[in-house]
Amino acid sequence: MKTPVFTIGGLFCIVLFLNCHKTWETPPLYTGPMLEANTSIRTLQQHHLPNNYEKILDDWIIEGVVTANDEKDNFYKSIVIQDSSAAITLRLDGYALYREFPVGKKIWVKLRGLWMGDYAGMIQLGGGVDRKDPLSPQLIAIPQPLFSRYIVKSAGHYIVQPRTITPLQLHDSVQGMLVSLHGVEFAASDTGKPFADAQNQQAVSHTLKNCGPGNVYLRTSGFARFATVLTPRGNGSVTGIYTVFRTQKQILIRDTSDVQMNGLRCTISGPKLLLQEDFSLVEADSILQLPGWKHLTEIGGRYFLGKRSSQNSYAEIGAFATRQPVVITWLISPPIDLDHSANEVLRFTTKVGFDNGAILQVLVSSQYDGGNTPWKNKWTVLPAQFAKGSLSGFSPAWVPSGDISLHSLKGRIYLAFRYEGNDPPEQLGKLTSSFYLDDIQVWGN
Amino acid sequence: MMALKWIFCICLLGMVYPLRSQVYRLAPVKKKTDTLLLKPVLAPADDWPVVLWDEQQRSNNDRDMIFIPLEASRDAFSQLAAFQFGVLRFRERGYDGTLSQQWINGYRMINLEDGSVPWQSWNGLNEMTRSQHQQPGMGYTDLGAGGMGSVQSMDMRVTAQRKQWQMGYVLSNRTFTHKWSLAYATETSRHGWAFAFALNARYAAETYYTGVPFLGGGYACSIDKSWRKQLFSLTVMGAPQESGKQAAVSNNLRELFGSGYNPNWGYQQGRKRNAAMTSVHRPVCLLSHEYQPRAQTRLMTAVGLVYGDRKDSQVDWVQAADPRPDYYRYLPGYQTDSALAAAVTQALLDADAPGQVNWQRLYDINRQQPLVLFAGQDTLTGKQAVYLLQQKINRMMQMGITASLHTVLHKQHVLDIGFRWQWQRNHYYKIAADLLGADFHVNWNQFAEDAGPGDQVSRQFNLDEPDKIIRTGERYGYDYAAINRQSAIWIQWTHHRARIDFNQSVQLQESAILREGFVRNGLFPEASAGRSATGYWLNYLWKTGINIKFNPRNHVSVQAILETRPPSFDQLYLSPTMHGYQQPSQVSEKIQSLAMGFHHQSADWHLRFSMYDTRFSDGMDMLRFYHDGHRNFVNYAIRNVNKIHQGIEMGLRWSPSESWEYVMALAWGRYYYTGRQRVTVTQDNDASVLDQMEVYSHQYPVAGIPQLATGAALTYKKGYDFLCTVQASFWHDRWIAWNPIRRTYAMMEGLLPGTDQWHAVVDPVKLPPAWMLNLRMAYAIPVRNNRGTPGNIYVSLSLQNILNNQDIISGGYEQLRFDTVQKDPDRFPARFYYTYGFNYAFNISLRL
Repeated sequence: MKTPVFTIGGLFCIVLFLNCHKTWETPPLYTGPMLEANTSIRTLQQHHLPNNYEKILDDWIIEGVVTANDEKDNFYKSIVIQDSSAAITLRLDGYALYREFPVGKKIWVKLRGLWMGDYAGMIQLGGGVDRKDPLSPQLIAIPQPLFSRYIVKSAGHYIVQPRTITPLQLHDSVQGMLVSLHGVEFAASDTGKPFADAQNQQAVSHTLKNCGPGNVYLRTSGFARFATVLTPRGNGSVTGIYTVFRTQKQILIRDTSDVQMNGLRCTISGPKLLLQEDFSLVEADSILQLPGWKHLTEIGGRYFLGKRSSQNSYAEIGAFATRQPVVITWLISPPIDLDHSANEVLRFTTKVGFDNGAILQVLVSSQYDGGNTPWKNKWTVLPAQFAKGSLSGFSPAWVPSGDISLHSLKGRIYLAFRYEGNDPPEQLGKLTSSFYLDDIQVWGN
Repeated sequence: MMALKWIFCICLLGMVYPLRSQVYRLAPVKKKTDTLLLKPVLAPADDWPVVLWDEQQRSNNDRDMIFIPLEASRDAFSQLAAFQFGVLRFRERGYDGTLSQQWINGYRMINLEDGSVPWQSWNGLNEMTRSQHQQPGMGYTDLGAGGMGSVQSMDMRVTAQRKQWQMGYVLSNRTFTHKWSLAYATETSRHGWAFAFALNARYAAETYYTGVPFLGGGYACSIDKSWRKQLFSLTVMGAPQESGKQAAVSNNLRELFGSGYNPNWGYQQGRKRNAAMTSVHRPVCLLSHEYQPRAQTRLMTAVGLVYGDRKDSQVDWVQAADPRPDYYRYLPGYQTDSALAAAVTQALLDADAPGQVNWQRLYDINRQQPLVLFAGQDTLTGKQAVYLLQQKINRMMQMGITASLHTVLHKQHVLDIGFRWQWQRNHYYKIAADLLGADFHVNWNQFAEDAGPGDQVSRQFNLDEPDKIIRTGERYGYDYAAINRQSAIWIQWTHHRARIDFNQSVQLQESAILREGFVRNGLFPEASAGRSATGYWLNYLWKTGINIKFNPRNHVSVQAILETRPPSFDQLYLSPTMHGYQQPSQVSEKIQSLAMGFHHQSADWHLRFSMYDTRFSDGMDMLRFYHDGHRNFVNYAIRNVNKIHQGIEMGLRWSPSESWEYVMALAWGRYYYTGRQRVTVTQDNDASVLDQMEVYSHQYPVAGIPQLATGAALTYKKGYDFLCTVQASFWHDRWIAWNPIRRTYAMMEGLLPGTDQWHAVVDPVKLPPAWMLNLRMAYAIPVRNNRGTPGNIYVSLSLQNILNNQDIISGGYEQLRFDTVQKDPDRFPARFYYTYGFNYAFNISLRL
């Protein structure tokens, strides 16, 4: 009798013990404390004397949103925070700071005990001053174990809009701030060059200029992960942190996505026209016939028609009254050679009438051979704006397509306008929208 | 009725004091008797339960583990060496654990991968493992040809078990707080059946070490069937356990955070969570057959099967700040500015849990990562883990067969022959055990990413499933198996004469080692998946001995061994987690040993004096670590490791009366390397050879083992009921594992010989001498159950390190990472393990 009792009892004991595997309660979500900044970054910076080091002894607190960090290693052991008044660099002695201080994180910095100094004019906060070399004392970054003593993180995510500015407007009041320069391009000698010298881990400054007066350097660290990426040739916008090195004005980007330069460069002679079609030579109300262009119907037998109204010629297409279940029509440009130009853009205008959902698209292909079955080749849809929404009659104004960049394409390409609609016998589900198309242009430098 | 009352009392006690500790029984063994089928007939005083010092220690690193026999040998030296010297990692003659052997029911228990003994499978099952026999190094055993180290055999068959109920409870502050145990064995029925089982449970919310929990159990069951002259036996056992780890701590950390510092744990929601948890469960199934056609002939065959996992967890991180609180950059010593160093010290001490893992922070950072739409093998919108808890799994499967025939050919000639075949596969992989608040991890090799940013191929851990999203519990990283096979045949002849005995043994062993990869990684697409080249090794062992008997009391023995052994899997492969490349030059290690002993035995005296000289040559080793100079992970393939172990052993037992006994033991050796080791340095990321160099290792000490250990014990016994022992041990000449990199020519640049810095870099670190005072008391109360069967209640108390010296270092190592520029050994300082301060085990058990 005893044997089974003890055996079962013993087994029970052991099962009990071995089953009490602990599951860990997960910590609560961080919601952050509520701190109030009692001074602004601008006010703080006014306490700094150039080339001096000030220890902050007051219980000041600043707040700011992180605008740059070491995510792509263009900023080294530092982050930049910005409030509505100004921005300042925080030197932090840690690795992968972006994990803890991602862009958009709002932080409070309790300044008591920190040091303020400048590096060739850039005001920074650090944990101490290294005076081993009395001629060039240096700010010491805040040690990692002290982060939590000086920095309090919020829980939310904030977006800092860059301040749009021209190179001439860059001055000390925007030092460290996130700025955006529009209509700028790299100097001709600086295009197509690596952002920095990754091989020798040397920083490189490239000249940025706009079509008017004024220029600024775009400086990139040799350690940046995008150092080997080549600078673009086009014109566009740059977003980054405005920094100074003595008298030199510099922009530091966070990543290559901060550089959007696909537009036409500013040139004295102006850009080249690679393709133009304004339909001025078409015969009104007849099937479109353009020299060099291919005009094909894939299904449905409906073609683009030439049109003329108030001295303007254009092309029109719509599936209305075809009585066809599917209508697909192609209008294909002559080949365009992109090898002798740069920063090419496509522009055209459209109007729509009786819009019930048929579509007009613009496509590009470098594989198409000029034959009569373009639908067997690979085409890519380009992101153009088309007129839409006019339910009865035609919209009064022409809708511009916007500048569609072709700069990523090389060699011989074809552009195609492809209409797709239908006109089934049933009343429901008709897609018969009519489109006007005019002023097709491809420009390049 | 009386007995039932006692049982009730003990059960009650067990419930009131939640239990734990480990009891080992002593079994007497007659010299030169066959240990198998031995029936223990004991007086209580010889049969006291013994509590092992630290059963965890043996499972943390098997290779370094000493052989702790669970039997109190009559040999005074073995007795002290086993129970007392082992506290500070003493190993007989300084040999590593792979030179000793363990047999259970005639089956060789060995982890073929590294030669260690897989203790975890029977840890804590003392009731069934107490029938043991230990043969000191180079001695005779009928299980195999023997070897350099000691040979221990254990009989877990029912025939060897105590035919009674055993219930025990232990309260301790060592590895566990409570232990409950229960065991029972039946007599053999008239149909030849017998049955035995043992169960135990061990638990500690926190062991002696801070933040180290322990939870363990144990089960064993044996069934015997005897039929004519044959005995069939089946034994199944296992000891599942889960425990935290104590990390080695450098002196500066200990000064900063106090003597009980353990950086492995941190608070999570108010509870201590240890990041470095180990769980092991490797059940063993043994089927044995013994055939005894006549009195002095026996054929023993055993088939074994072992299967199970060992899991080790630790925090992994992806391009983020190091989560380990003892990382050198977080410590005051990293600051060059004294004010900042003081501020860092203050900030560390002001923290809620100074110097511990900040789990909350790991969760916070994971949770603040941006939500991303990740499209790899499949798509997922979530937060990518920056920190995660990885669990490294080592799944072992072993099967094997051993057979031995023991026969007395003539009364003067004993012949033993046998063979052994064993096959083992260790499957290594790791899983994301806990994503710590994140949603996924990606199966990328971040160290490969560092080598070439944006390289989409190199960073893949698995090219066949690129960019795989890893969710909780899924495998990532490496995935490979180590496959080992060993077979051996041996023959042994012993010749007994009136005044002299001879013995000769020869063994031939063949082994095969290979790696099989299951994933094709981006760095080594050609060498990572599939089977590597198989390494075949043929090794031999030749052993001879002579024993001259002057008279029944005194004899002198001389033994010699020549042996070669193959490198282990770990020593052979450069970086098995990544590829199947092996060390460029491969040789078997050669060992030769000569030992002499003098034995004296009389009514009051037992004396043994031995001296030995053992030479190892052509050893190999492999080190993997982060090299500051190369700024990468590197593999140091070391060969030409030669060393000499020489020394004396002395054991003395004096029993002037029935009540008093005095025991003394001394082991004094010199274990040192000779010649220069040669190193080939390869880069972990591309297996290219970076450097070849010599290590100036001549005359450097063999580390980790006390080269001098001595101790004495005084025991008072009163009849069979009471026993009290006072015991003291002393250890000296201990060095910590030294870093070969610091003893190379390349590291001498800028160091002036003879300067303090030069000494700090090249001198091996010697540990201070240590000593310890212990006390043990035991009391036996005879009881009878209601049927009149006699039994005993044993109460014992073991107090160790009575003077509570908390600064005794049990071992340590110089970090392999070295400041190659400043040559400052304190930047990555040596780390030490500390042994227990005052500790106790209280044991109460009932046998009926």
